[in-house]
Amino acid sequence: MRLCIGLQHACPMALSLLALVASVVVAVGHPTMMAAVETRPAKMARLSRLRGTLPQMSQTALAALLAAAKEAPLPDVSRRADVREAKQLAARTLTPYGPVHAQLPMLCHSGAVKLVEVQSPWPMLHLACQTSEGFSSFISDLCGNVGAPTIQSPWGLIMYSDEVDPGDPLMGKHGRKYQAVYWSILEFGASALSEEELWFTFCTVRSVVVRQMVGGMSALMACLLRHMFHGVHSPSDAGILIDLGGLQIRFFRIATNDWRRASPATTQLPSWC
Amino acid sequence: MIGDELALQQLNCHRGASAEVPCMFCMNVKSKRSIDVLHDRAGYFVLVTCVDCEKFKFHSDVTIRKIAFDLRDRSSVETKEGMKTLQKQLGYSYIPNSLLLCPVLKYKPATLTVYDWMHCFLVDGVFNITVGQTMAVAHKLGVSYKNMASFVATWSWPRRLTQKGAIGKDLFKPSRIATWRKEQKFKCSASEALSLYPVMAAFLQMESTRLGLAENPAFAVLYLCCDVLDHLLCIPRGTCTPEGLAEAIVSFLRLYKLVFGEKHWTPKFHSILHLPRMLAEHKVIIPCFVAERKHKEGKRIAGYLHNTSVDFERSLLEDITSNHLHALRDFVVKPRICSGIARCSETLLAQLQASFPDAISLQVGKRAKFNQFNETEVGDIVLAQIGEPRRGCRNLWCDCRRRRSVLFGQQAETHQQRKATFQVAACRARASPA
Repeated sequence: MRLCIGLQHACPMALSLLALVASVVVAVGHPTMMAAVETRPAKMARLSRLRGTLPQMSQTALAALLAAAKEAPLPDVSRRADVREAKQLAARTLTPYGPVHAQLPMLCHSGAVKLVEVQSPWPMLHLACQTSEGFSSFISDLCGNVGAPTIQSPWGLIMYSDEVDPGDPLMGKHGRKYQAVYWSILEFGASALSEEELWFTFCTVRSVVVRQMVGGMSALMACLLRHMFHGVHSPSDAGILIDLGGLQIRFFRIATNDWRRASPATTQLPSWC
Repeated sequence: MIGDELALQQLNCHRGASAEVPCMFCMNVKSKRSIDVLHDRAGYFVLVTCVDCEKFKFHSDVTIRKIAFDLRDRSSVETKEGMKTLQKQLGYSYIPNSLLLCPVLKYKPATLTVYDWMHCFLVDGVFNITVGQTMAVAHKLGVSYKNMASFVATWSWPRRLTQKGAIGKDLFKPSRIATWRKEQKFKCSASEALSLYPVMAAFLQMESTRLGLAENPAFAVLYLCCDVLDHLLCIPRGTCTPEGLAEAIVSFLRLYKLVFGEKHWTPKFHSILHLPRMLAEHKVIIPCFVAERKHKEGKRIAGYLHNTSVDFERSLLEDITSNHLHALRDFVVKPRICSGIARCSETLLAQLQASFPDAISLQVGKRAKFNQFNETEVGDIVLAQIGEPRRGCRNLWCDCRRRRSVLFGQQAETHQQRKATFQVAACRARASPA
């Protein structure tokens, strides 16, 4: 997992192969001893050979991987499946509010039910506060500045959705185009919300799949909001308890009767915000 | 709920510009091609080019949801053609399982939807059209895009923008200029437009003074458009009021309509009239620049995923989650040195200590976030306040202290020798839009 930090440009297969090569080098001779006696042209030739044997990756990725290998021994796993498992570690982490990733059923035009992979907001928020000291202290400071969320004054939610095309937009094929939904909290403030880290990715579903769903993007968003506010762990009941390293806060769903006041005939249920 | 025009239409089942009612918030605003306005003797309907907000009949959450439920009920009895006409007239579509029809959520479309000013103004939007129209007039007076390019080339932008290629200096190529003139629209990215707009305004001011056209109305339209952008950029600082924004937008649109007419008027011109109300309701309007930046990560990961037949979504999202958690580990919002240097020359340290005798600790780096809103790098010009309040232009080295940021700078002449000592040089001031 540590390797993944600096190697964002490397594909999993490249990582796996490089780890294998590195383990072979360790088995043959100590790399630092070899490096000490090697001349620079020989080193360059060896690096060139190594790069040639690996799947394509950027120079930055390879340099970062080699630097990481120099600083600390590489993990003793080298299969592609291991890299994949490492990638899934965060997604499968179990929090008090369930696993970070969940699958939501969506009805398709064909009558079939399609499972959509989503990043569950409350488990992700819980995990982010647990793993990131900076993030949890940011929320602690925020509670001091704007007040902690309560059932009377809950924090606001911002949702953003857009279509993203990863490939060349001028090419005819757009099979990888996907609908991204991000969410964040309004009380973070305009300046903090200009940081990408404070926006969580709710889901990334291919546009082709969204078009197959009954209701399309609107139905997907409804499903996501139901999962967030009416799921197994609903913030409208006991709230969502987040531990900020000493300080604990609860995120609530707003529970007012605004909607009923606006339209007496329509509903008696609380609205969401 | 924020997003671009298309995303908001999809979420709220609105038909957008293809409907006779192009705005999801207004009941009586008709598109330019609608004939209802001509036949409406009661004066209920208004055209999308109307800038008198008092004439608009706004939808509420209840009315929008009622339309959605009515369309659902009518869908079972109406013919296909009848349904199509009805949807076109109302401006909304019937979409089964949609957010509007969800009985659990009780979604409030009118209250919760917020237009994105970045898309309205800068993405093939109001600003692009206004610049195109103004320059078409300016061209007749002997002021061309070529002159503007020469003027823009003399300016320097903060390095953080230069590195991202968001300054728009390279935009002015002959082939592009020909397209802009032909289409009467200035095409550029949103970031480039944001960097260029103050310089464009300065250029036109200079040219109008030179030509003795101080009160040219076409130029005044662009100044007013820039004024609206100034207001919008002040929203995060809390210095923009809904009333002030409304006044700026209405003044701009009135003059635009008077000078350039309605030919190039798009629904985005109407959309910006709703921004002050949204600001008043939500206290803040978040532009989507950050979301567009966030797309880059997804694009980078998805670029390696070519097999879409198996678990594309899961694989992509797992990578995004994993990377996000790693990024959060180093997350800091407070003023800080973003790109520190391990060692600093003794000369520089002595200079800093002399300038800040009461400083508890000094940090030196190449890049720093010096307040909530701005980042600065070596080579940038900043307005520094050191000790007694005073203004001075200095190249930068930076010291961030608790509660307030203090900037201090002396650029090294041997800038290329990054690991060498930092020599003190005379300050060199440059023109900067900031």
